[in-house]
This record gives sequence, C-alpha cells and structure tokens, in this order.
Amino acid sequence: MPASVDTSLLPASTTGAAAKLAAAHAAEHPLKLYGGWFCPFVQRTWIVLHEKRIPHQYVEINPYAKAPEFLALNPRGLVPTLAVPVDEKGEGKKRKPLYESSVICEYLDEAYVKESEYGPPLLPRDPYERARCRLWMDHISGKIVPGFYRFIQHTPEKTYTIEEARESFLGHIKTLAREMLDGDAERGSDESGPWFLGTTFSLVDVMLAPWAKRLFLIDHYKPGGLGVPAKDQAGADEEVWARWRKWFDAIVARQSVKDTWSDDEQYIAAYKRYAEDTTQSEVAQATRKGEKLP
Amino acid sequence: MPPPDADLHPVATGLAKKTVDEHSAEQPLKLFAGWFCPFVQRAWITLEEKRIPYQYVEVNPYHKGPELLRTNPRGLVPTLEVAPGKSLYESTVLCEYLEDHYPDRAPRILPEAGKDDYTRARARIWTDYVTTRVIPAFHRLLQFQPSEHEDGERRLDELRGEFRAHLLEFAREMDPEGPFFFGSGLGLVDIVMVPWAVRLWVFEEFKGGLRVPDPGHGGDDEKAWDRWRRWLDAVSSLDSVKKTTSDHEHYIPIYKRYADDVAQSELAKATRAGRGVP
Repeated sequence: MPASVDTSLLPASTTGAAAKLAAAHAAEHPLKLYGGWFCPFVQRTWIVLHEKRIPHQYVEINPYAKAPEFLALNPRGLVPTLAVPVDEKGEGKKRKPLYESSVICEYLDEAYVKESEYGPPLLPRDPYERARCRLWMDHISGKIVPGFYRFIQHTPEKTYTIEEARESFLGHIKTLAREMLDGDAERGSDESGPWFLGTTFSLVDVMLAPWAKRLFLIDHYKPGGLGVPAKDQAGADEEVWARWRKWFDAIVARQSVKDTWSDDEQYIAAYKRYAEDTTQSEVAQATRKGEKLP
Repeated sequence: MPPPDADLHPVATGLAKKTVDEHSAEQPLKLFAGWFCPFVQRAWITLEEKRIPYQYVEVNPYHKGPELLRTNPRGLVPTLEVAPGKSLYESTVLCEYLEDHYPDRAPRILPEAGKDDYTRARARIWTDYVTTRVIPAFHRLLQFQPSEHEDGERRLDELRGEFRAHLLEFAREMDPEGPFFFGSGLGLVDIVMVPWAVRLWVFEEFKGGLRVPDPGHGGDDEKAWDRWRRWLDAVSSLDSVKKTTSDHEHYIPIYKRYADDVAQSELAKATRAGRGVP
C-alpha cells in the first residue's frame, strides 16, 4: 500500500443523500455491503440493493486503509465486497464473500426474486434478451468505463491526445446509444421509455449510472470538457445524441441513483488526483499501465 | 498484401472435422467459428456437451465474409445466430445463453437460479478470473521476445512464474474432491478454462517449457499442483474437448506466429499494447 497517498485529503465517508441512506443501513445485518462512498463500482451494487429494497448493512471501507476483518473476508481487498450469510435462513454468523460489481448485481437480482417484496427482475426472463443485456453490460464495463478513466486521467505527458481520448470515449457512448435506438425501433413507437430496454429499467442502466453521474467531473477538470454536442448541433448524429440525452436525463433523476450519491463537491475533491493522474487507486494504476481494470 | 495470418489452414481437421461434417446441415442455430480459436471452443464445447442441434459455419477471421458481418458487424468469432436477425457474441455470454435457452438439455453448467445463487455468483467470479487474469498472462508469456530485452531470459522466467501462479490460484479455488472445478460435474468455469489448458503445449514447443514441478517436487504447492493435474486430466479426457480439437500439426504455425509476436489477431495486438482480452 503506497505510503505517499495522503488519505487525510479524502473525505472519510458518505455525505448528502448517501449519508442518510448509509445511516439508515448502519445496523447489524447478516447481508453486508462493504463499500467506499466515492467508488462507482460500489454505487452499482448499492443501487441494486435499493432498487430491490433488499435489507442489508452498509459498511464504509477506506480503500487506502483497509480494516483487517475486511481483508480476511476478501484478500483481494477491493470494494465492493458483499458478505453473504451462508445458512439457508440468512441468520447465521458465517459469511462468504462475493466481489466483482457486475457479479454482485446479478447475484442480488437472482437471489431476491419475490416480486411482491423485491420488485420486478432487473434482467429479462427471455434468454436471448438476457444475453443481449449481458453483452451491453460488457460493452459498458469493457469499453465505456475504461474510456472514462483514460479521459479523466489524461495529462499532456501522455502518448495520446485529449482529443483522441474524447473521441474514443464518445464513440463508445454513441455505440451504446445506437443500440438503444435499434431496440426502440424493434419494440415499436408505443413503447418509448428512456431506458436501455425502453420502459423497463435494467442492470444495463445500473452498470453505467455511476459514470453518468460522474461525467460532470470531466467538464470540471478537462480542457474542452466532455464534448457531447448540444441539441441541434450534432449533425448526422443528432438522433443518437438525442437518445443519449433522454437516457442520461432519466438516469440522473432515478431515485436509487440520487439516494446513493454524496455531495458533488466531495467528488470534485476526490477525483482531483484522477484528473492530475497522481492517484494510487488500483483502477488508476491499471489505466496508466493500459491493463484491464481490476 | 493479404493479412499475414490469412494463410492458416482453412478448415478443421482430425476429430473436429468429423464434428464439423456432422453439423454442416442447415439449422436455425448457427455457430460462426474459427476452428482453432479457443474462445470459439468454449461455445462449441457447450453445444456438444448439451447435444444442442446447430450448424457450424467456418469463418476465416482475417477474411470475414458478408454472412458473418451481417450477423455481427464487429465480425468477431464466436458469433451465434439464434434466429434470422438475432445474433449474440462474447463466448461466456453464449455459454450462459445456451444454458438459459435450453434448460432441459443436460448437463447443467451452472446451478439453477434460486437453488444455489452463491455458487452461480462464484462461478462468474472465476470465469471472469480466467478471462481477465489467466488468458492475458498466457499471452504475455507466449508473445514475449527475450532477444528484445537486456535481461530477456530472466524476464521470461518471471513471466513463466506469473503464469504458473495464476494456475495455482485457480487450482486452489477448486473443490478439493473434484475432479471438476465445483465437484463431480462439468461446469461453466471448466469450460471457459479448458481451451487454454489444452494449449499449454505451446510453452513446451516455443518458450522452453512452463516448468511446472514434477509430482513430488512441488514443495508448498504440491497439493495445488496435484489438484491441477487431476483437473487437467479430467477436462482433457472430455469427449466434447476432443471432438472440438483439430490435428495438432495445424495449430503449430498459428501459435508460432504468437510465439514470434507477429500475430495480427485483436488479442495479439491487445497483448502487445499491454491490454487484456478485447
């Protein structure tokens, strides 16, 4: 663990709406989410817990000073980690860990299925549609998210230009928006909701939500900003960007997304070191090395 | 000038050829495949294990025909066309799709949803481990050129060690009895790993060996290596693996290109750029 990281600069816990939510889930519960308030991967799993109203305990972990009990549960030491009670009734003391945010999200959706208690499933029942969702979740995690980090961590010393980072990132977003348009067309015009699946909210939307909320940081920190064309300025891509804006406006207004968000200023402070490419988080180090995100 | 990898053997041979011939007839479910591709083999093994009717369509990934591009504009293999206009790709997505869409076709490769969701999730964690850790390390070792580095031999040995460490970590997660990852039955984690497990010969052929300790010489890792060997024996013996494997000699020129680091696949390029599986 790098000694040079000044952890005192990092706000220690949730603030704003997220603080209320964390406080409401501070009591002991067999199902525990270990998270970092600013971590977008944690936010994915936190959103699912709230969408499905799954009772749980939220435990804040400082990723730069990990508690030994946490490391005992998940030696890889990454957040999010979900501690799953292992006996049938979920009352036992023994816990097993799950990690990888997308694995945790799918687990929660599969394990908590009773609709009267947990609401509708977040993945389609139809195998083809479910597979199509997984494909696009993969596109988000494998293309859009790494593109976000390459963009925000850009500095003049890099071998690539900020224009290249922007174009690549926006390109992956457009690819997703085009797929949404294709889906809309297939379903027909009377089912034109904002989500990836139209009127049905799904894990595809969840996977990208935390980075949608963080896009303002690119406008804040990067010369030239995010670069999404304004309405009527997109030329041939007008329809694609309109569809993106429709999804974006809906996701940032989604209750579970708002409730798991801390105060904007805290993210600005926390992401300063990403913007200057000095942070020692595992995601940032992997980005610098051009490796797959941990 | 044609792409350098374009002169690979065009079709499956050996036992795989027999399988291809048995699946040449027109079928609604079509697997667009490269006979040598380990990612294809994941989906192919799943189809064979479950005896799902399908049509095998050979694709040269460096001369992608209009048929493939129509079903998957990204032009990747494996692509599975499930109905006219409806295609899927990403090998692990395909395996899960086949499991979901043919729930009555034994064997199940994952516990049923609602029955053991924790194991389902663990299976996905270790599937992800294979793709994000094992395969990139496999390729980093295979594509490494010692002559291009001052301390080339030492670095090569380091890469061997890193790769062996991933195999050990994988082995340590296995059910102790096995022989498969989760126990007596074949599952998704076995399927996503086996294509690389049966290609380990490339290190003997091209990189001076993997230097896995012989039985009895594993020291602290003896138990893990023993478990690895038992798993490897079990998966290598599967009919579905043998039936999707072509004659050995035809793989050699393909993997030589990786060993010399002149291969032009997306995976080879990503490895050179220090990135993971595209």
